[in-house]
Amino acid sequence: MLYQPEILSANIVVLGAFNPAIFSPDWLELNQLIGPDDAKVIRSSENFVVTRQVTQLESETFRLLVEESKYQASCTGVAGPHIRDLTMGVLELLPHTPLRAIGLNFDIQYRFHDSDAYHKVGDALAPKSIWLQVVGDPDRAIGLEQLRIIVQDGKRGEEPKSPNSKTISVHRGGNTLTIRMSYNDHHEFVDLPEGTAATEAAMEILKEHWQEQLQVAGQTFSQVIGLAIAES
Amino acid sequence: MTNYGSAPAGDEIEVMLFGPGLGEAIAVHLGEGQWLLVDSCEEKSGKGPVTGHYLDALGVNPEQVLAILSTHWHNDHIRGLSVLANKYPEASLFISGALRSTEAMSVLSAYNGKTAARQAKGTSEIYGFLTSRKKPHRAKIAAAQSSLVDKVLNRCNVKVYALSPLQEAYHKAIAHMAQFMAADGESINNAPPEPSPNATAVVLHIDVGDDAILLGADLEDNKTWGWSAMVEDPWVLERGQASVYKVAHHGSRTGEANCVWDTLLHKEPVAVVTPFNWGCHRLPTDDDRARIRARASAAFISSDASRSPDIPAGQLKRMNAICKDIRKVDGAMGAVRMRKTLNTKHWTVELFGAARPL
Amino acid sequence: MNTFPQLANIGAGSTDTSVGFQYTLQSPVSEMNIPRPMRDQEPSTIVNTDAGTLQMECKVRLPPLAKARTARQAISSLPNEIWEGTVQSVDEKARIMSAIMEPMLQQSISRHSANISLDYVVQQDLPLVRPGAVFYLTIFTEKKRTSIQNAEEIRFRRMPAWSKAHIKKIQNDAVVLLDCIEG
Repeated sequence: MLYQPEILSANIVVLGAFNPAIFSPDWLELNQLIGPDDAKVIRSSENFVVTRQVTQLESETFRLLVEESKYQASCTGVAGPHIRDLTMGVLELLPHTPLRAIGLNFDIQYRFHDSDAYHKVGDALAPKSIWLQVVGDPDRAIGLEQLRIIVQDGKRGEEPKSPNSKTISVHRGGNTLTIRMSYNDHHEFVDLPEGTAATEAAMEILKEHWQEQLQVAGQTFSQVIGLAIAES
Repeated sequence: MTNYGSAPAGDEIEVMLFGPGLGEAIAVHLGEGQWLLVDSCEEKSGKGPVTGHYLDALGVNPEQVLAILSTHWHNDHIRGLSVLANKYPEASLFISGALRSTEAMSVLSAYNGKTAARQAKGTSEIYGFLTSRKKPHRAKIAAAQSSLVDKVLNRCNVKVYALSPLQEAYHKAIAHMAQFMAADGESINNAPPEPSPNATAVVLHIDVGDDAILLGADLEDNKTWGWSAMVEDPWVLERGQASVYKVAHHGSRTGEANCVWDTLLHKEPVAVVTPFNWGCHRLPTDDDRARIRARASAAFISSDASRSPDIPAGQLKRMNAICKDIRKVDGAMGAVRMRKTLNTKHWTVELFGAARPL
Repeated sequence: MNTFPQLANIGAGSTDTSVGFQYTLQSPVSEMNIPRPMRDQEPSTIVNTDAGTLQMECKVRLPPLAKARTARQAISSLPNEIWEGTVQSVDEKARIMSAIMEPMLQQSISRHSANISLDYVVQQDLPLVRPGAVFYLTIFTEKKRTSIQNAEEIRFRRMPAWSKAHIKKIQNDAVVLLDCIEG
């Protein structure tokens, strides 16, 4: 096996207008979004902050960071749909929250067992021929550090048909022979149907797309790596 | 893709029963290209209703579907129902009369997947089914003695009647539904897996020419709301005896009643049954199969596929440390098709997929 | 006119919803912050209050080993499969729940039924166990500093309780639904 995934992380980002002070463990527990043991862990965590400007909570399974314009829920333990459910629960409890956008994010770190295959990925995604000419020094190594591709509705040269997009990023991993890939599925709340709150639209996106995008992210990453190795 | 061959001839009657192991759906050709659909299931979650795919394979146009009936609201009978309702917009929709109540509608509304962010695949199907039609083409109720279809086809009267639910089932349904209604402050998880009791199930009697078909749904035997109560009604006894019987409640002992075989069916009819496989529960049991075989001239089951888990070995080993009795729920899809020319005696039976003689 | 607050009111700003790659490096929160109760000790805590010191008895019972493993915050982890299960029935006496489970990652695997002992459900989730409840059985590997371990966890889905607003909406909708049916 040339490579294998070794870490998966997931998080959800919602942009809008929030009141961070609401998001206390007491509030979450009272509204049955977390259990008593989770609340206890949060309260005793040294990262526990609840203020008007920012709230940070951390349990064994999720981390919540809420600022006045951003809500972010991340998995701390193994990645799973609990952050989706938590976010849906929060939006259900705060239906009048003005929202601008939501992003579903999935990251996978791959460990390569074959250095040739590892370098092939970087060479395929960022061909070195131009850089070799520019740098011109054979004693210097040139490598891909980070690459970001955005996919929008509509053709190149035209205005995008919608503000929604998907972004795929490739990063050189922190450790040798690792590659990290990130997938962002971005939705903006513009031109909503009459009578539809942005929170409703956000919940619909989470309900209908979170699981599907988790699968798509993994398939996309595998396809990128596979094609890159085959091409070089 | 299964090759189902061609559509039945205009003067052929057909009963096509699908059942993968947890699920049941029936398509009935009444004659002259007119179809009736009963319940719905999917071969695989999210892949769409099997009867819809079947009719597509036969080249049936949407306007040829006269009616779609939801016999009761058990999850194994309703997957894909809302898709059928939208696919056949001119078909009349029927639900059990025992479920036309404020309590039932409150449960549907609570678990429609839209009221709150709750995933409720089963009840949201029924919600979609009911709301797919606007006035004046609203859904209709099916209850004892009500008519679903009354047409002349092939110069014969074709009548589809509901033989149930009986009046007593209405009270049972209300009491059952009431326990699932939303209450202020109450912790809610998800939709109930069996929103309606079997007592509400709609049994269909289809009169075609000189013969009849009995579709037993999931009705069980009971002196006040079940088979025994039903056959006390002289009106029911006046219905023609059926030569094809979709055995009630997956062939179970509780769905069995001698009065059905003795009064509503020809001597030794053709019997078809769908399995119900869930955990260590398996219907029909070996005793049930023997009992059905003894009463029928020929008996078939829609799927007899293996229920061995199809989970990768490494993962299965780890799951076995926590879970016991891991069984596949969706066996391979199978279907039993019975066709005969109008006013003849013998049914031709074809088996598709995992269907087998019982 | 949409009656909900308009985007313009919340001002301009970044619309970037992506984040940098994140995985935890620190030790599990529970190890850092939750005092480890000693089995053989009778723990007690002395609390200083304005009224003077107060001695409190804190008896804590550890969960049985190899059962009810609370989710641990691994340094890194990878789910091999997440099974979304729906409880079909609960046998309180035998402490077993029967469920139908559907895989979330590999769609080629079909639904399976299984019986699961309630011993594998974490304490705080036990009140949630009832027919219709949804849980996630995650089969995963976790990589700690020098080792890789297989692990499994069961977590129940939590949703907000019904509110008065919900109930009202349901009641209104039920009337509309009734009108969708003749009779």
